[in-house]
Amino acid sequence: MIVALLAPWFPLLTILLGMAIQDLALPLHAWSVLRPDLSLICLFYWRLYRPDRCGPLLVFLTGLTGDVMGVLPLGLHAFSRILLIILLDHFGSRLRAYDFLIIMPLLGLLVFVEELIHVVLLALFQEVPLFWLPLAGQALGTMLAAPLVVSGLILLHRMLLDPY
Amino acid sequence: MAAFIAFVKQYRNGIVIFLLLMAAVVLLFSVRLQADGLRGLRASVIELMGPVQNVLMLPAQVIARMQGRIVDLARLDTENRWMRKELLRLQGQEIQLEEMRQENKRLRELLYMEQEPGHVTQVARIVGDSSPSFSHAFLLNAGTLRGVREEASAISPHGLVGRVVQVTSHNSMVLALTDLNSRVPAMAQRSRIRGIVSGSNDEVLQLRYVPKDADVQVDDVILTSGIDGIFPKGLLIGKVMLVDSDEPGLFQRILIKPAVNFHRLEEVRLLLPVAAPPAPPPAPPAAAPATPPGRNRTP
Repeated sequence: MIVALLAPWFPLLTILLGMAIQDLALPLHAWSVLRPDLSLICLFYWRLYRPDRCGPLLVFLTGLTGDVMGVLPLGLHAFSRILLIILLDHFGSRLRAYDFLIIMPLLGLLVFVEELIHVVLLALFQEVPLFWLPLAGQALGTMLAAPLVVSGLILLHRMLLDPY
Repeated sequence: MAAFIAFVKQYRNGIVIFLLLMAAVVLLFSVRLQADGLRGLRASVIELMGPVQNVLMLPAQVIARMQGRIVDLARLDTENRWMRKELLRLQGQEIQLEEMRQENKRLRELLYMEQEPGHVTQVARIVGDSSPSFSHAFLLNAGTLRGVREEASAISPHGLVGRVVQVTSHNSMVLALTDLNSRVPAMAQRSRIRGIVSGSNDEVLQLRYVPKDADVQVDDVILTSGIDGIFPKGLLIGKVMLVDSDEPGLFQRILIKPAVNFHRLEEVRLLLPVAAPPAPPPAPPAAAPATPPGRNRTP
């Protein structure tokens, strides 16, 4: 009963959970460099395979939440993620034809592109120093974490979301 | 109007995305980071996400604590190993220190012993002990190079030990009082009765050749008599522990407990007689008085 009620909200919940996890202050140096963008992985997955449960408004709102949590200018993540789902919608049918492992590097590229969009947008307001290591690290970390996260999402998708 | 509605229906998704994109741009350019409304929104989001993050941090904290504990354990293990080694080293040092302290005490006792007139002393360490065999003798680490000569007396702070019977350049052999072949002229301190102290390869000595009517009692102190010219007079030998006058023969049977514990000896002091100073040259004959001229010189 509860699962049935929550089922439509799984994409939103997983994106928010991803956000909460990726913002954890883990006492590891590797975490500060290779911190994966878990919310983007969730967003990518749901937008690709269940776009009906992951509409533009949800993406926009989760983007705003990311801005608020990251103390960033409001609309930064919302803007970049709307741009990303335009890309995903355009190439979605092709991407769905491939196994997820093959399109995994694309996730790293998406993270990199999103970070570059942030840099460009932030540069409109203030001078932004560009550190390539965190940018590349986040892309790499996202690629590395993607198989595990996507496996969990597939499980959730098939066991809890599909029946409802 | 109908065309507009049809257009919206056809491109609904695209229009929504476009509007949201514009909304994001408007937000980006209109809302200041520190705006009051945004501050409230941020507080609300943090209120919502904070507990979730707290729960999510629990495993991470547990793992971090475990990791810290493992690091601590590894460090403790290293420290423990180091301390065990250090303890072993210090135990060895402590034994060495105790050994040196005792040696220092013994040497101090030897140093403060009364000087024997007519003798110089030389301290020597016992490096060999033949006591378990049929003779009771000690090997010392001092020989002729350190001035040791045969017949030198060996004493300890407690009394007479024996005499040197053999000397090499670096070592010398001391025949202990308890040896079967040892003979030392002695006397009782109280009654001045004389006799010969002899060993028997046992822990007790015998005072021989003491007539049956001589006054010797238990606990009498026995000293060297010095009549042999080897042992200086008055060195402590021991105390009488048994007097038996019922022994057949002319003499009493007297047993003496040595003052020295031969089992615990580690250093001895050797009394080396000072060589007698050379005799002064004979005095030149007194000058003959000048003979007056014309006197006959013949006796």
